[in-house]
This record gives sequence, C-alpha cells and structure tokens, in this order.
Amino acid sequence: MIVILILISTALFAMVGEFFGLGKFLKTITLLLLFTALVFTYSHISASYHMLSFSCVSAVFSSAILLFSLFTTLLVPKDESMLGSKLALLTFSTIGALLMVTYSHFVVLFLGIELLSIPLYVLSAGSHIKSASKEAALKYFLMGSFASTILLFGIALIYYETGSFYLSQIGSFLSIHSASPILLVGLLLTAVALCFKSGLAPFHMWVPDVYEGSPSYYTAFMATVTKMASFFAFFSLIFFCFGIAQSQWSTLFIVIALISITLGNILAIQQDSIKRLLAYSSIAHAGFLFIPLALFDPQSSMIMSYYSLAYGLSSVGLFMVISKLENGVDLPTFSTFKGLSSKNKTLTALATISLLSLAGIPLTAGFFAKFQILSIAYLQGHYGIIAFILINAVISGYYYLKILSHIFAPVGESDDVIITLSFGQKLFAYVLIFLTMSIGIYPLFCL
Amino acid sequence: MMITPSVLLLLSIFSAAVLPFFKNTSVSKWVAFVLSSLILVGALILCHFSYYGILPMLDSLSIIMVMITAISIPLVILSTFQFPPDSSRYFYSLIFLLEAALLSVFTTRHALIFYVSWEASIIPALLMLFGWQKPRLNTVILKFFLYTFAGGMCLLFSLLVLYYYPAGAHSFDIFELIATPLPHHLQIILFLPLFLAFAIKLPIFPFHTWQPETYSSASTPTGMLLVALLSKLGLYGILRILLPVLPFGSEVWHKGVLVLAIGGLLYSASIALIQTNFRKVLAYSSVSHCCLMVIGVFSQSFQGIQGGIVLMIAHTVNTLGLFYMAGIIERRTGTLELDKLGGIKQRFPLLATAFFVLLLGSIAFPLTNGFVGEFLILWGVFSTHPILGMITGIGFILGAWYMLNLFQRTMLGATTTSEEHTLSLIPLPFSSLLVIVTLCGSVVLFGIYPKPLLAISAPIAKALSAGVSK
Repeated sequence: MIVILILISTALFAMVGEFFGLGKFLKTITLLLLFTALVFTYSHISASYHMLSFSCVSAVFSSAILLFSLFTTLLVPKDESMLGSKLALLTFSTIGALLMVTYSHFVVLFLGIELLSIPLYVLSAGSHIKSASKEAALKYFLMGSFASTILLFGIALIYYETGSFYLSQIGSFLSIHSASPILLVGLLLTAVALCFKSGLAPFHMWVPDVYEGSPSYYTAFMATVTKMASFFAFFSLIFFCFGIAQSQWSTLFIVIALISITLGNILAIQQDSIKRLLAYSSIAHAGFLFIPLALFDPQSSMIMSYYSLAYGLSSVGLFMVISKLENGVDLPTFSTFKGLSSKNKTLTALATISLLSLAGIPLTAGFFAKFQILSIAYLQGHYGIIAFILINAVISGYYYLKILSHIFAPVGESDDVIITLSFGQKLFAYVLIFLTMSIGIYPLFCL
Repeated sequence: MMITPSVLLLLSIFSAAVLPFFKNTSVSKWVAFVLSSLILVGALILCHFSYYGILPMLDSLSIIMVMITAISIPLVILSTFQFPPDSSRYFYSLIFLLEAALLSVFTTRHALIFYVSWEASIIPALLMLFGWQKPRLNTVILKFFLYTFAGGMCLLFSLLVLYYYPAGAHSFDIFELIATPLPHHLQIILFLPLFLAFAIKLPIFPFHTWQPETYSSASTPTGMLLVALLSKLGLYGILRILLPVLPFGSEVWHKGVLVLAIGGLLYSASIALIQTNFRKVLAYSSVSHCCLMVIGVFSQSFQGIQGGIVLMIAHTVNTLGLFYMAGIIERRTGTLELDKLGGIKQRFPLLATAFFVLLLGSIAFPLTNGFVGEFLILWGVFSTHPILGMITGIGFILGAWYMLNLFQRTMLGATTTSEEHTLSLIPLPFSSLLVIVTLCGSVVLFGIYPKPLLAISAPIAKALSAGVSK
C-alpha cells in the first residue's frame, strides 16, 4: 500500500514538477522516489486489503517490477520533450503493473491492465520516426483494447457461474463443483487475454510492430515491466483457478509455450531490424517463461522471478545500447551495430554480456534461468520439452551471435564516430554487467 | 604455502582482471608472461604434491591436463612477444580467462561446474576470434559457435540425465556418478549425446566441418590456443566422463566409433593432401590426429588408451609449434598459399630445421614424441581388432605423405616469393627462438625418453581398460 501511495505521489510530482521550475531535477527526484518505493516493497509481506493481497511471492514480484521500472526510467534521456508527463505516465504504468501483481479481485486485475497499458499506448507514439511510431501506437491500442474486451468477457462469464470476483472464492468454488462449459470458456478467455498481454505465440502479432515503432527506452519498459506484470498476474490466476484441474490445462499451456518458442526463434532468424529481432526473441523468451507456469510446479514462482530478472537485465542492457546507437532517422538494423567494438568499450562489453546471457551461455544469468526450467521439466518427466528447449537454445544462439559478429566487425572510414557515455551511464552499464554476471555465477544469491 | 586448484584459478582470474590496466604493450606482455609463469610454477608444485601423494588433490589425468595448460599458456604469450596483437592487454586478459576456464574444467569433480566451465571456455575463445580474426570471416565464427554450443547442449542434457536418474540422493560428483551403475539400455542411449558433445569439441569426422575454417581464419596465437588446448577438452571429456560412467555403452558402440574415427583419419588425411593453404593442411592434420586419439582410446586395450593420452600430449606440443611456424612464415612471406611458397630453407635454414623436427614429431617418426603415442595406439588397435589396425596403418602413411609434401613445397625448391618483404630480413628474436627451441627440444626429449609420460598415463589406462573389460 505504502509503495503504491509513494508511486502515486511520484507521478503527481512528475506532472506538476515542471511548472515549479524543477525541470532539471525532475528525473533525479523521480528516480529517488522510485528507489524509496523499492525499499518499502518488503514492508508488509503478508497483509490483505479489500481487493489486494500481499505475500512473500508478490513482494518479490513487486520488487522486480520496481527495479526494472527504475532501470528503464534511467534510460529516458534528460532532454526528452515533455519529460515530466512522460515520467508520470511511466510511473502510472508501474502502478498498474503493481496492481496486477497484488490483485485478489478480478476488477483490480482489469484496472491494473488498463492502468499499465493506456500510458504505454501514449508513450509508444513518441518516437522520432513518426510513421512507424504512429502505426505502433495505433496497433498497440487496437490490439490492447481487443484483449481487454476479451478479458472483460471472460471475467463476466466467470462471475456468471461463480458469483464472485475474488480469486480465493472462485478457487474454492472450483474445488467443490466441477467446471461447467461456460466457466471453462470464461477461464479460457481470461487466459487468452493474459497471453495477449504477455506476447505468447498465437496472440503475438502486435509485438514486433510495437517494439519496432516505439522509442527504445519505452520498448525496454514493455519488454521488462509489462511482460513481468502479465506473467505474475498469470501466476496468481493459474494457481488459484487453473491449479485445481491442472492436468487438463497443462497440455494446452505447454503447447502454447512451445509454439511461442519455436515461432519466436524461427521468425527472429529472418529479421534484419534489430528491434523486430528482439521482439521475436522476446516472444521466444515468453515461451520459456511460460513453461514453469504450464508445469504447475511449486518452484514456479522462484524460477519465474529468476528468469524474468535474467531476461530483464539483458534486455535493458541491449535496449540501452540500441538507444545510444540510434540516430533518430532510420530504424536500427544489424549495420547499426557494425564496429561498435572500436567505438565504445563499455557498450561493447554490455552488449556482449547481454547477448551471451540471452543465448544462455554459462557464467551469465541466462544460463541458470534456462537450467532451472530444464531441471523441473526433467523432474516432471517431460523429456520432450528438454530436447525442445535445447534445440531452440542453439537456434537462438545463431541470431544473438549474428548481432555479436556485427559488433566486432570492422568499421568503414565514413562512420568512425566515437560514442561517449556520461559517468552515470557508464556506471549503470557496469551495474548491469555486474548483476548479470554475479547472479549467473552465484545464483543462490537471489533464490 | 598451500597450493590448491582454486589458488591457480583465482590467480588466473586475478591476472585477467589486472591486465587491462597495463596500457603500454611492452609492459603488458611482460606482466602477462610473468603471471603465466607464476601459474606454471604453482601448477608444478601442485602436480608434484599430488603425484607423489603428499597432498593428493588431483589424479593423474588432471595432472596431465593441468600441466599441458600451464605450460602452453606462457609459450603462447612468449610467441606473441615480437608482434603483440592490437590492444594486446585485452588479448592477454582473455588468454587468462581461457586458462581459468580450462583449469576449472580439468580440476573439478563437480559435473555441473565441469559443464559451466566447459561452456565458459567458449566466451574468451569467441571474443578472441571476433576481435583478432584475420580475414574477417564472421560466418566461420558463427559456425564454430553453433557447433560447440550444440555440443554443449548435448553435454548438458546428458549430465542432467546422469544427475536425476539414480533414485534417492542425487549427486553431481563425477566420482559418485562413476560409482553408480546405470542400467544397460540407458547407457546405450546416453552414449550418443555424450559422444556427440565430445566429438564436436575434438573434433572428429563427421563433426569437424567447423574446425579447418576456424583455425585458418584465427590469428596465430588464437589458433595455437584453440588447437593445442581447446580441442583437448573433448578427449578429456571422453576419458573423464564418457568411458568411466558409461562402460557398457562404450563397449556396445566402440566398434562404430572406431569405424567412424578410422574413416575420419583416412578422409581428413586425403583432404589434407589436396589442400593449397599451409594452415588448412595443419588443420586437417589436426583432425586426423584427433581421430587417431579417439581410435586409441576406444580400442578397448591398455596400450591403446595409454597411446591416446601420450599422443594427446605430443599433439599439443607439435601443433603449438606447427601453427606458430605457420604464423612466422605468413609474417615473413605475406602468404600461406602453397603455390606461392617455396625455398624457405635457403633463406631461413633455422626455421626449416625446426619445422622439420616438428614435422617428424607430427608424422610419428621414431625417436620423436609422436612415435610413442602412435605406436601404442597401433599396438592397441591391432591387439583387439587386427583388420582395423591394418587400415589405421594406412592413415599413418598418408600422414607422412601430406606432411612431407608440405615440407617439400614450402621449404625446398626455388625461392618463389619476392624479396621485397622487409620483415623477412629481420632475424628471429630471442623470445621466438626460446619457444621454438623448447617445443623442438620436447619433441626429441620425449621421443627418446618417454618414460615419464608412460608412467603418468599408465594408471589412467589401467583403470579405464579394466572398467571396459568388466
């Protein structure tokens, strides 16, 4: 509760701060307030308000969300036009994400999703490349509203059968009664809406366009905070509502996960635009992240938070590199990365570690994230999934290495511009590298 | 002072962390050399204590591997003294990272750490290839990465199965994995991914296609490290995990592996005959030697396994030398195409002599180190599979053919390369001479007096051949 209050005041401050001549310190103060909120995440671990419930798991999830919200806010450049309003929008989005993590009532879930998405519709329109950005915003808005409608329809059907919006009551209803067709359709529609939001395979169409069109720092926000929030929302839904009849749902979810992984990887290979490639790779990673959920394992929450931490760190790192390399005219492609190694050492190190982590090479966080999924899949006897993950890891290794090979390619004479980073950016890059390596080498640190 | 494997590991990581701070190339190369020699001294003490049972922390196999690594790294660093690579501090730093990963693989008892360090060794190798490649061939490096990564995934899969299969307490300790017998059908199935993992790394036919291109596009020191050390990971894996953990599986499959390896031996030797690039000949000869080691190790006999290990040591020395020679020749003549080379002997008699000694080692001429290993392998294969042993003999002849052919086309004949290369007039510096003399000296020394190598490899061969025949 305190966290949400702090965030609301942050957003209000960011909105009005500019009028009071605080424009210079706006970003710094917002960051400080976000950090304060992060500190207070663990203040009430088990408490429940009317429609929110806080637990140890949700505290971990909330802190992950706040951490990445902090990181992406760091990426927003200081000279962004209308900085105050944009920071406020990001903060509102974060509040929505927190509601999605702590909800115990379907209305709060809906509220959270809308609060998360509406600011992002606005932000995704703000890129230098106008036409792509407008297209992205419109597509995101249309698809997002469509998903919200489906969600509402699903919630209505569930309410029709169970007479409640509370997750716990629905759960106890399901444990007594067998699910009627209408209830099943309702649950399915809710799940579909959340798949939509998390960018899982048959509902992934919006992801590449939106990722490509939006400014890089907001794409980083979408890739980390939005994705985490929808997965964590999925987590509560699955453990309260689907867990009772898990064997029926498990197969369906595994199929969705495997389709996402394959489709994401195969489509990513053909991409030339880096942001589209990362969008497809994010679909594949969403598939990986969905496997622990689909397997209904008691360790799922831990594995999910570790995986999203690992994935988030590398994504933020890569989007930071991209936002530094973008020239504001063209969409970034492979050639944008060309010769980075001779332009800036810090960014090269950051990009290398992030790419290796996304590919799942040991000593980086990405490896242990995949390893845990493999081990629960093994313990539950899904050998097919293991083979599948391993083959896909190799496929994904191809396109990540392709980026890496462009980074180390020689530069032409024309564009041997040295990119300079401010001290803060350098520090941030090293923090990201340090975190990726340290939780990769000593994973118990955050488990 | 206590020297444990972790001290060596920390020392290499420390070196890797310190080196980027030495901006001056002439300082950084000396720092790198001193640090690597320090690790070598540490490794010597450690191996001495372990070998004589004073402080038994490593078994014979680990001792051999640690010594190979610790000796090769200072030699590679020394070999770059004359022409240090661009931004050499990062290069040296990566060398130490590679050393740390290799030492960790070779000394650990924990299967997961084995896997993690195994894969981690790709990172410095990859960066060395990317950053200091010669003809910028990114696709080649991608191929290298994909192959090794796919092999790594097979290894991970097999280790997961080995870990979770036994009911009750799971353990990643390699020695406990060895002590837990697995059912026969599982051994037969699991042999395939595990063998694939090690076969790609070595590499042996038909998983070798990444290797010749990678070795020939790598810069000289990178190529030396890849061929001398990284490829040894594969054989180490076979000796450490594949044969002891899956004795039944290897017995079932050993004939298949032998046929594959002998086919590979003949195939790569024939390909080496028609190559027109100096480094490519060496790369294919390396493939055929790797096949030979696998033949020995899978021959199911004491002599064969011992020969495989001895050949592995000899192969490290010979390839280090030969790839270094290739680097020197390329510097001096500006090309490695065999058609453009010739008559090097007239201008650099010393170089030609050293090359000839290393070549004799490589073709297993008696009284050189290669002979000991190859003879034992032939003996081992012949004692268990006489016909396959005879075919292996043909491979030896082909090996002598392409290497002597190489010598004839590059060292003898008329001087075809133009004289305008000013570099060619500079005599070899002391550092390069030291590397060459050390390598050539050990070719001859261990050819005449192979007893230490035989003594240290005997217990491994004994344990493995006993396990197989059970």
